[in-house]
Amino acid sequence: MSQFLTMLVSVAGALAVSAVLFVGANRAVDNIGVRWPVFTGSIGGLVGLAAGAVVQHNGWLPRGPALGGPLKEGWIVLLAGGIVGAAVAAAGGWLATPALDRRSRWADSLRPWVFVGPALLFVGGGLVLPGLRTAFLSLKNGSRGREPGFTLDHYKDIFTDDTFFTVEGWSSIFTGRLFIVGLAAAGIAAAAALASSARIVGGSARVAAAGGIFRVLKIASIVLVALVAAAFIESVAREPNRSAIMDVLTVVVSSRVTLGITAAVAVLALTAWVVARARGRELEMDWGSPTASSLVVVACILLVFGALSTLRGVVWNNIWWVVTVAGLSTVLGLLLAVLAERSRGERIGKTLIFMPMAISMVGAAVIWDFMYEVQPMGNQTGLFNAVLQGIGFTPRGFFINASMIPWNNFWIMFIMVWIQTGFAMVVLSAAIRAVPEELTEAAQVDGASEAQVFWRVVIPQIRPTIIVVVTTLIVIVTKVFDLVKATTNGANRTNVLANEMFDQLRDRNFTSSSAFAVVLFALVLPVMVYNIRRLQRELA
Amino acid sequence: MTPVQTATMPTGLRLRRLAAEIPTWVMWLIVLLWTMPTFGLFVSSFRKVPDIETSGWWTAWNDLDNLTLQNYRDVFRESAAQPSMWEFALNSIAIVVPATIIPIAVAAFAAYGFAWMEFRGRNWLFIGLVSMIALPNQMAFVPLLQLFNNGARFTVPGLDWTLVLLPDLGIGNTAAAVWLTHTAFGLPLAVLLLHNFIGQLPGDIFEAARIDGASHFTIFWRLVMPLARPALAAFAVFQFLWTWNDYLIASVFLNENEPMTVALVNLVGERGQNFQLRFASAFVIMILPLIVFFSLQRHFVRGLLAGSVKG
Repeated sequence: MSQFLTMLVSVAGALAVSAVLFVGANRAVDNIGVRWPVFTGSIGGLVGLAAGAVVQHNGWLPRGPALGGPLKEGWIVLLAGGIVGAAVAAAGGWLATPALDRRSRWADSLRPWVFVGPALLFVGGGLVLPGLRTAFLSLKNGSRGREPGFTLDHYKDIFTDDTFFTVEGWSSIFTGRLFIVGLAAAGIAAAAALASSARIVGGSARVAAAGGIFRVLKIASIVLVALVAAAFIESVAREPNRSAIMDVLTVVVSSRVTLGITAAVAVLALTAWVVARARGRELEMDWGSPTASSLVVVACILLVFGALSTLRGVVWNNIWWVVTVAGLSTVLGLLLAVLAERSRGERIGKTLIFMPMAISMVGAAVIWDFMYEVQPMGNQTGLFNAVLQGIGFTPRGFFINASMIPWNNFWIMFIMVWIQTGFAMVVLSAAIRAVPEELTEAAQVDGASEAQVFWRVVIPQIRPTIIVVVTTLIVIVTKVFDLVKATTNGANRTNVLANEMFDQLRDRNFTSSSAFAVVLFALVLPVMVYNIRRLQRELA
Repeated sequence: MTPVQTATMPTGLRLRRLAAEIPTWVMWLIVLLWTMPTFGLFVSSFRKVPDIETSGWWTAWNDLDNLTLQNYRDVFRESAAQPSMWEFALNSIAIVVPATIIPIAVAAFAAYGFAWMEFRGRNWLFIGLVSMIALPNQMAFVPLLQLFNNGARFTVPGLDWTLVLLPDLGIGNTAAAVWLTHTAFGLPLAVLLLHNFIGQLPGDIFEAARIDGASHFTIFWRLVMPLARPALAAFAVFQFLWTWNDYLIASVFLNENEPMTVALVNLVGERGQNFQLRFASAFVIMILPLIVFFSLQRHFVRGLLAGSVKG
């Protein structure tokens, strides 16, 4: 209770002092025009107070009998400094008063600083300067940064220690099932991109044949991407005794045969396109084809996801987090925004999906820890494992057990997806609403299907918003901390940069903690630069 | 739609009607998946310990008599191992109220200054300030911790001469340290939100007020503040949720008088024991944010959109 009262008193005090300072500063600026000495006097008073404080705290005061006794009372020095400063400055102002119009120009140029000054002071003192000092500390010797000399050791530690960063075993990326699957999907998608982007205009038999091939390819690619998704889910769930269908699927999808077929298909599609193109330009290309471009995007995400799941180390893990959560939340958010528009009970549904935004990460960790709960024997009490058991699978410790590595990470990431999807949905859904109706109506009048309107009119219109959502998510996810802390605390290779930074800070390894912070900063730097350029364009 | 009408409809139309229902079904399926976890925890927080450990929460409706408020009573009861949650709740409030009010006050002035005053370097300063939204808070922790605990000293290079820039203010390990940190971290977003809103207010009113002799301060206080109330509310909801749910800053800057989030993580750390306390505590923490969220959702959404959709 006592700290509660302290809080009330100090907040009231701080607000009162701030109000007095702000109103006082405004008054002082008002007085430039009318009473110049009052203005200079108040500035001088402030300077004097500051000087008094500096003198006091650095102990520059002549001690002993010079001032009639030791001056221990700091506030006397402060007060003296303030009074002397105010008096001197006021006298100076009174003696040399500038012309009225110059004074009013002073007022005009000073006033803005009264308004923006406090914010600049807070951000400068609380973010910019500390940020610079963190960068400085990360280069210092010793754990507290007190020793002289500079070193790059803290960075070297991060990038040479296998737990933090390693490219060892990078070649296994290419043999990893997910990567091969992703590659297959990418090849197929590229072929499909060619196929579905071609529109047959002419009527020659050869062109028609090419068109037929394209159509087959398009269907084949959709089927293959579905297979890929199945293999992907199977991989992530890490099913110990997988079903026969899954076995066949994974063999089909991940074998080199698939890779070969994919390559062949891609070559075939390319030739067909070239042939048709050479024969009298009877094909029209349209590169913005929705099926194709979305397939390519999905394939690329799979590829990156597969590659990152193979790489080890905290830094890679952090990047993996960013790619997965930002990608999945945005895609899910967009899907929900579109679905909600066509659904009954839109408002309630959206509110419920949005709700996790209000729940703390710590609370979310508790909630999902319980969902993933595994009991070694007896009834499963976690919903997921109960469902798994119910349909005949083995229950598993989703992020507890070492046997889940590296997919234990994914199940923690999913908690973040659960939280952030609502954000993506709300923002994207507002953007979709803001698309001018004339545009969609015009497209419909021209005979575009609903899918075409969405992919060719709505998506290009909301592209800036999609980018904003993705960049916002990148910034949020890069510094993920609470979730990992409250679920695994980084055990079983689930560690992330912010958690490691925190642990180093707890151990009072200030310099290496700073180095981790700088690496974190480096990861979001591209987004920061992008944001700055966007703001520049907006304000220009 | 009555069955008779449906029966007389052509098959194609009926299929299309059915297809039109698909989005609703898919969305509500996702909604179910999205709400299930929270709901499951909510139900479990009313169950007895042996029940939680031996059967799933979805079986709870079989015997509703077994539900109990005991877990919540335990959460608020003081014991040797764990202080009452009330204490942590008070700590949370003591952190959240100032950490919400201070940034709003500071940011409102700055937003007005950036939007409606001319001065040199305005755009650059604004861009610099707002770009700090993306700066990871971690970049400021070590220096701020040192500042709060020891003050700031500067040793002149080459000379063995140390200047005290800021004395040890004695706010290390106090709520004040957390307020100041939250203020600094929340300000960039606050300035952006309020600037976007205040900048769009009709300039003619201010022009008219200026001609009538009103000073910037009067315009700000009498015109801008009342008009900007929706934006202020939006950011207040934002900052409230952010500070209430914060675990990182509190655990970096506080070793005592911690807020509820820290208490919850400490409970989670002791796996096995206090199993039932975890669920009830998690819910106690969530209550206030959920109330704020559901009652002020409009403002929250507006804040989100003002901060991210623009441009």
